[in-house]
Amino acid sequence: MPYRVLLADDLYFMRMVQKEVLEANGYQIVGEASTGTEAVAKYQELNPDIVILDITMPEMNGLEAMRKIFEIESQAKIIICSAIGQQNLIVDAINAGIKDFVVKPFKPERLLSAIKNALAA
Amino acid sequence: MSFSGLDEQKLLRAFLEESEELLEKLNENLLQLERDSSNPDSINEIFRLTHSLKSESALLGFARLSELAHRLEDVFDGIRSGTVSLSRPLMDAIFSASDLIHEIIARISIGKNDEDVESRSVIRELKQLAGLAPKIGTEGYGAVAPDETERADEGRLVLGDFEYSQIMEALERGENIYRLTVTVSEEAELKYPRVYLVFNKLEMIANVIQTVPNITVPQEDQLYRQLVVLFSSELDKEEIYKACSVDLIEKLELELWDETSIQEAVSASRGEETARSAASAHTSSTSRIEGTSIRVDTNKLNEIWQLVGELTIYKAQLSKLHDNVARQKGNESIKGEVERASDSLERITTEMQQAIMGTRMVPIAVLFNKFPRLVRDLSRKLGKKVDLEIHGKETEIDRTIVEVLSDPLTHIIRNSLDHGLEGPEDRRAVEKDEVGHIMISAHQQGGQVVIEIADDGRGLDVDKIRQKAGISREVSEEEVVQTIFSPGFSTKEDVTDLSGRGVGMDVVATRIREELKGEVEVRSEPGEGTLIRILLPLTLTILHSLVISCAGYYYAIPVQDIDETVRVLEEEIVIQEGSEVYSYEGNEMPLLRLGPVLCGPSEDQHNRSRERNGVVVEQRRGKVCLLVDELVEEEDLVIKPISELLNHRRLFSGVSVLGDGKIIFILDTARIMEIIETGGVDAI
Amino acid sequence: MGKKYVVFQIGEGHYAIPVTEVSQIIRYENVTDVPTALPFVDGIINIGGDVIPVVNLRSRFSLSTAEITRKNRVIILRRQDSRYGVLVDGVREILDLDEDSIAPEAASVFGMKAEFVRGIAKIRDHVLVLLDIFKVLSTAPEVPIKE
Repeated sequence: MPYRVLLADDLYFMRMVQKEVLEANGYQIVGEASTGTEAVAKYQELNPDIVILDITMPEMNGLEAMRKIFEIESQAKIIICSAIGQQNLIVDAINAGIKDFVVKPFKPERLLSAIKNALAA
Repeated sequence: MSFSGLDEQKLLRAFLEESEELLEKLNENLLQLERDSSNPDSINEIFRLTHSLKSESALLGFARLSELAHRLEDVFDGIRSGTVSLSRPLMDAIFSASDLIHEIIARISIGKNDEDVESRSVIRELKQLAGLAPKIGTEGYGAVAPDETERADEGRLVLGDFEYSQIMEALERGENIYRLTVTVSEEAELKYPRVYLVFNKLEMIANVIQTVPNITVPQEDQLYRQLVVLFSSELDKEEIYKACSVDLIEKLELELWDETSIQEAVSASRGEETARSAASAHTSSTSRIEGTSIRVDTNKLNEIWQLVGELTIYKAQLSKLHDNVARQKGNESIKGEVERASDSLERITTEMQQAIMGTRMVPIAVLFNKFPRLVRDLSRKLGKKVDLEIHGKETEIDRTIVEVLSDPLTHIIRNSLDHGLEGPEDRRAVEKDEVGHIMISAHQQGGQVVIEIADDGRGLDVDKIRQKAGISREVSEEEVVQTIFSPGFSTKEDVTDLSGRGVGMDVVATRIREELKGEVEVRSEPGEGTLIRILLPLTLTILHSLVISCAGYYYAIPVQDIDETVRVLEEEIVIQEGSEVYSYEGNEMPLLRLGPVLCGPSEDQHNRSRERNGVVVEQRRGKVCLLVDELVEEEDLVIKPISELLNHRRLFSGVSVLGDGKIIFILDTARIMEIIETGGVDAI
Repeated sequence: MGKKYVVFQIGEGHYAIPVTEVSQIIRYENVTDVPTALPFVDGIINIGGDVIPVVNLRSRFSLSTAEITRKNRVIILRRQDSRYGVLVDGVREILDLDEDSIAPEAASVFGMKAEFVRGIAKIRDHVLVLLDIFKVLSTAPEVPIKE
């Protein structure tokens, strides 16, 4: 049974690439979100195995969404996508409990490896 | 540029669609920006657009395009944070870059790639004009540049007494001591968060004793390529490896430390330390010659002070929590830990408070020290004999007050010498000691500093003041002399005409009242002398207070003003001459019900019990019993100044905010007693 | 280019104060009642450990009290080290006012005494009273602001 993934990124293009990569490697994309609020709502609705969450999103940013998701499920598996200069935000997210982070722009192999490890933990 | 099993064409098409839209918006915004160069919306939008373009083009392997977009993004990041200003040449360069991006995308759309496009010069221009330095990749916490010694000790644990005791305790608990070396893959872009992931996982299953480089105070990212952690844990090697597995980590080397290794490491560190301290002792002796003080911006001190204040609040919260926990049954080990933590926090906070107080407060001696010289010189010039006495020069006042006080005090002393004190003959003629006396004193009282300057000279000429200010005979002497502080009182009149003070006293009063939010009063006895008293609020104080409640609100009374707390019985309250008096065990003192005074006449209805709580406050004038609802607790409160809008009756000397948001007004006991004495309870 | 002003409403009147005097604009929340203050002091608000009084400008301008709605705002003003809050019926916008569009006004305007008025500006269909807010706040409580 394939793992169920929720993608959250405000760029349609990003989500498309991620979807292509993940589906080609046996993952099932059960939902997509383009704002933090949508991400939280979809998490609640779909209960995916793992969430790929971009830090910068309109309406509610990724970190806030991350916190709300942890409130729903404290053991939620979240991987955040960040830009290079966001070290302090990443550390905050690690303290909050994310499994891993990928730095944009990232290679698809990196995303795959991060997801694999996160799900295995 | 190929992704495993992906439809490249589909991706490319989507990319081109997206970027076309992006470019359109970019153009629009750039034109808008040209018209209005300070529009924050355009700036933010362009930042967002270039950021997206950077990410998307990188994903598809268009490195050149991505770099160009990245440079633009940097420029706009700088503009919106204010570090880069948008000049005409820079604007032109930005347009060139934008045109170049168009070109590249056009090439991509006809099947070419971005590599044969010359972008170096545009990028260089952008960098130059925007004054952008290459990024190191550190941001956020104040990154500390490592000094030479630290680089040399990369990976070397330095074990002091504290670490040693932690190791011993761990061994006693039956845990193992491990040394873990984490090596991050070269390809990981951010090393610090990467090792932080491992550290985070380790913290869950172990007690970390030390990390090199230090993980809590982030330094340059590159230094974290390798992290060494010393920790204790009851788990075995295999379990630890499993718990710490993180992606993009090249190597995890776990070493179990036995007794010998521990001893070796500790003595090695000790040896190093003695060597290092010997070296630093040498350097500190040379630095002593240069002095050991630095200039610090008072704003920074204020910041630290605010933080210490907040720390006090949380310390108090923790104490409460500790009390709650202690009362519950069981959880002995947790109780013990909470108690230890609470005690440590208490100790450290108190020490910090005192240390910070030490930096803000200076002894008033810094002000007083110049007066002996001033008095000696001036008295000689005027041909008078004067003896100066100084009391309480160790009284501490806030550093910021010192400068503002200097002139006014000097002025007052000059006046005393000039006009107040008589010359030797005049003094002999009225049977006074030939030598005149001036006394300067300072002491702290409640949340105030009281400074007094007294002389045994002529005193103020009340009649002259009356005349000058046009005050009628009916006004009392005491009130008349206060007019010397009125604005505009002193004129350009010949100074010798007006015996006594008056010249410039209004200016002195203004400075003290408005700049220092203080008060100034004068008392004078004709022929006997004059006393000037200055009252200054201490702007930042921690006051040991008794918190009381009255009609549902909280108030605080400085403990030092309190004589005792009593239970007042209804029968112990009698009426004498229209006011209430508290009479017990042969003592009598005025009684004041705080409820009606603070909250309005109807408030005392709240508490009709026979027995009430009373707080006996004492000042120089005597004692007063204040009737309150409840005695809540004794607490160290951080006092902040209170706005006039909240204090128009001047009943409060400050306000304090607790961690939970509760507001507590600090009662000005001196003022309250004053009000009672003057029978003005109804007036307030 | 002119100066930027915060435009707010009290009753039917529109007023403006320079943004340099404004620290924050917040909703009417967490205002704690205080018993011994003046009648037009609505209460206090705790911002970062500082106790900031909130003055109800409607009251201060001697207008009838109105219910608090979501439109109300508290403008936190800052002068040197002190902060004050004023409760207004609503904040309309931040406006750029050209020096030329401001007329100095000596006589009283819309019942507001001249000493509190720094000038008048006419924007679209509204007349803006440029208010000397700190003067309003520091005037003795018994003295009415409006005639």
